[in-house]
Amino acid sequence: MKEMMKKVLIVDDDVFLTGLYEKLLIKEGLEVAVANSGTAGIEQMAQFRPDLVILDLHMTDMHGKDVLQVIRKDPHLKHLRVIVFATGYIQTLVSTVADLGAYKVLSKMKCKPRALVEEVMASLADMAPAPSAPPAEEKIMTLEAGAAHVDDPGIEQFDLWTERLLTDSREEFRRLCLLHLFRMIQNDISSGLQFDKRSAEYKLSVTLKKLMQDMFDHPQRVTDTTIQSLRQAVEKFLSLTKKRYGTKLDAEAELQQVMKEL
Amino acid sequence: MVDIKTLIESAGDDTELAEDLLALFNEQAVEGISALADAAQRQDAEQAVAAAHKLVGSAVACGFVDLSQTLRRIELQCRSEMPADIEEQIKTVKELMERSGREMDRLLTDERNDEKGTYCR
Repeated sequence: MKEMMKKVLIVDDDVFLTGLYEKLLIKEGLEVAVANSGTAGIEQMAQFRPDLVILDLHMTDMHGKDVLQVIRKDPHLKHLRVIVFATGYIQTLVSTVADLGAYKVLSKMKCKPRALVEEVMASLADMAPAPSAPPAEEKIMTLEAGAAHVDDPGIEQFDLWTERLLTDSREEFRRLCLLHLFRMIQNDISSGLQFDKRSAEYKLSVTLKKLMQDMFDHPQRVTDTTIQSLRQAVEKFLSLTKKRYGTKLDAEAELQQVMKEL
Repeated sequence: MVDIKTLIESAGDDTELAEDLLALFNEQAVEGISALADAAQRQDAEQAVAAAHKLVGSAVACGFVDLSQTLRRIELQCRSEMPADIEEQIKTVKELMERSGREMDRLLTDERNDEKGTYCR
């Protein structure tokens, strides 16, 4: 069966730039549409049904942030992957669109056309179904039930899956990332739950499991800060389980600290 | 300073297309700088921001490094208020545009000669 061409929509009021990117992306074998205003961009999204949107922020009729807000509120568009590509310092751009689920934020000042094309191609390639994904038709209700469908990717892939989680705005994909993250520590948590209920291992196992279930229930609320807390908790938990009861006093002190941070 | 590599990459590694792209950018830059000068004369900071902003992205994409940075500075300054030396800055932009355009033309000719394996100047 012939593979469907991936579709990209460019929303930018700079006619020169949109013409340039359009040519470069078509050359890569993509189907490309252009909208030279925010309003036209929103209309095109519904008609053209792109896989990916490249969005400028400073447009004359409508700020890109407002376009992004419209996308996120629309039930048909809310999972759309959007690369914000605008002029400005990257930190300012990131904070402008924070919490609006931009897949990537790139500064026109730093990211040249070739680099943008590479980012687009990488983003589209990343959309291919991830390996070990649970069946799409199955609605996953709990973390443990979902984890049964995925293989343990190994704790060394922790950073990879947290990055995927933070850079993808799709709810189901975020859940899938959380399943992989949970799978990495599931056996350790099960072992931790075998310990005495007053032990550091038991308490931290319960806390970690609760934290991950909460993230799984509300994947869109997961932020950089949540991931940092998770990373610290996992690191401490794994170091605790390795220590076992060898240094019990240290373990108790560490547990108090972790609980406080969580 | 200009970056010929960026211009050629933007043209999909095609030097002939890069020439067309450069010609298009020159046209756009002339219009954009004129819009910027008009806005400065009218002391319309908002229009000056829009005119400078529009040119920044294209200048980056075509490898006009110094020009893009100067335009970006004007854009940022005009966001708060029209700078007192705006006329002077626009003069600098025009000079940069002319100098960078000539430099880019020369580099592009070198690139094409290099592709053909010939030399003529």
